[in-house]
Amino acid sequence: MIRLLKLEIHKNFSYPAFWVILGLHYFFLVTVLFNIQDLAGSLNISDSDYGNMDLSLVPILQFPDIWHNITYIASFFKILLGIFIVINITNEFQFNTIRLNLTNGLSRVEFISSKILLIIIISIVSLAVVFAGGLVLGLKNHEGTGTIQMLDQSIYLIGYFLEILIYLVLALFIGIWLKRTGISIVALLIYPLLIEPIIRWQFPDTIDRFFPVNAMDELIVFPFPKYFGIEIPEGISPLMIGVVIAWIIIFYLLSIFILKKKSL
Amino acid sequence: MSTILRIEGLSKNYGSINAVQNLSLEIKKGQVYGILGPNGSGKTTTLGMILGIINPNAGNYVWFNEEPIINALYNIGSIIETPSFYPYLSAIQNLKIVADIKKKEYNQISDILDRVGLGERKNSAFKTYSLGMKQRLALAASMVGNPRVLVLDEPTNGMDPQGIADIRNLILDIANKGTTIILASHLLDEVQKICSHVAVLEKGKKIFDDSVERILAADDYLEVWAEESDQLFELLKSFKGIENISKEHQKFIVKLSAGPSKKDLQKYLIQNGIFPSHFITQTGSLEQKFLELLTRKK
Repeated sequence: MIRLLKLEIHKNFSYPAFWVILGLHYFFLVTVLFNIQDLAGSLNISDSDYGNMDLSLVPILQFPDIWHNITYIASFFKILLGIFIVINITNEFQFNTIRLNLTNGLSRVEFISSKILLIIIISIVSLAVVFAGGLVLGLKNHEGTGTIQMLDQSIYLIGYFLEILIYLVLALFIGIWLKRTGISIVALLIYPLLIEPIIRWQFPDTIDRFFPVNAMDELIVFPFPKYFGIEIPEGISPLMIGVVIAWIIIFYLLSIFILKKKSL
Repeated sequence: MSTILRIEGLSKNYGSINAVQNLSLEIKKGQVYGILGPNGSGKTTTLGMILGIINPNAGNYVWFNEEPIINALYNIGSIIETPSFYPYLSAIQNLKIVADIKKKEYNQISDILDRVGLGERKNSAFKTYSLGMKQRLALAASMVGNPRVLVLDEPTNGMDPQGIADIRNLILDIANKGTTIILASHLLDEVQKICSHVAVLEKGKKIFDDSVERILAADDYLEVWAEESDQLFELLKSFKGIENISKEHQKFIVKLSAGPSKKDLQKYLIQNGIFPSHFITQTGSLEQKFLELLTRKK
């Protein structure tokens, strides 16, 4: 495992795009988190289900609600991470370096596993950034003198970690399958927005919950309606955690299966 | 001699095109085995299959006689088609990746780069290299971890004459240390200079295989000349054991049949009072043999 990790470190640490894309992601993420209250005030969220919501007075950054609120916001930035994973995977085909890997003795399973390790590392770093940001913001905005229930509802951090993980594993799968950078990025962007909703539309509600993007979206639900007296599910559904983990494993196995079938 | 690679009935087709058909080969330890063939004869496909990147439709191959080795590919260095490396990484960084994969140390990397003549540019990004330098790096990568076998697909492709000579010497040097080498090429001269054995492929089929020495010996011929040209010609005609005589620039080109030796012919001429002032053995070339093989089929 150390060897596979070392391999990805050697491939990426001198790659400018690695630092640029990941740097941009964390820069945007931290900037938005630290200005979230101002931004929320300037937003006038209008939702067909919930009506108008003025967020300027909502205590977004109070423990323990902060975890739900910031993980929800942070999860939007995962697209940049997904694009990086797609570039990382499709580069191996574009540069033909996958041949270099395989002819020197890396198995196809090891190749996919090394990418999974990279994905896990990126997910852990993202989790750490959001956790640290949450602690700092939560303490800064703490009002009153009662004991701080800092880690209540920190289950949302697990939800965030899984959301990043499944999205990046989906990106891996798309990259392995399509091999070309441009089309893979397009697929990664339109699959959640267009393709899966269209497919889900063909299925009854009891089944369509189990689709990967739907399960991913259900991990951390839209948090703000609760401030306006609308009930939303508390915490994260264990069922959806199970579904998401199942999809992560399925995408991993499918990637291996596709790569094994391919002549390179 | 132990077997390094045995290929049995290997086949690959792309749709209706049979890239490789029912190919069987056996390569022994220490051989420098040339795989020859015109473009599109299945050389690269064959190498791709034995290196595990192309899935065969039928047949199988066994490396190292199924000795219990963790992974045969850790002991094989290879160049296949165009050199492929991470363009934004330097030669050293790229070779570190190869060493990571093969579970080898990094300490020989600098030496290898010196040996292939990339010492001065070892810290430049791969994308800044010329084709010849890329080819040198590919050879360097194949040497990481002192492999027991080198599989080289057109290793001098795109190199200048000096580069070709350098690489050829390097390959010979490696071969002399006992490394088995499998070399695909369409440069017959290159194969003749390097290889101990050859197989010739045409349209995915093996049409011939033998040792280079035997091929060249079989194509030996004599150039004979004496002042008494007519007399010489008569004598040559009367000598039993001559397959063929022709005349080229005053000299007679003589091909002996299997029985008598050159010495016998020389003795015969002298006994009959002709002292040839020119009596030279010329070895045939692989090129002759190759063209003969390919035209014979048509």
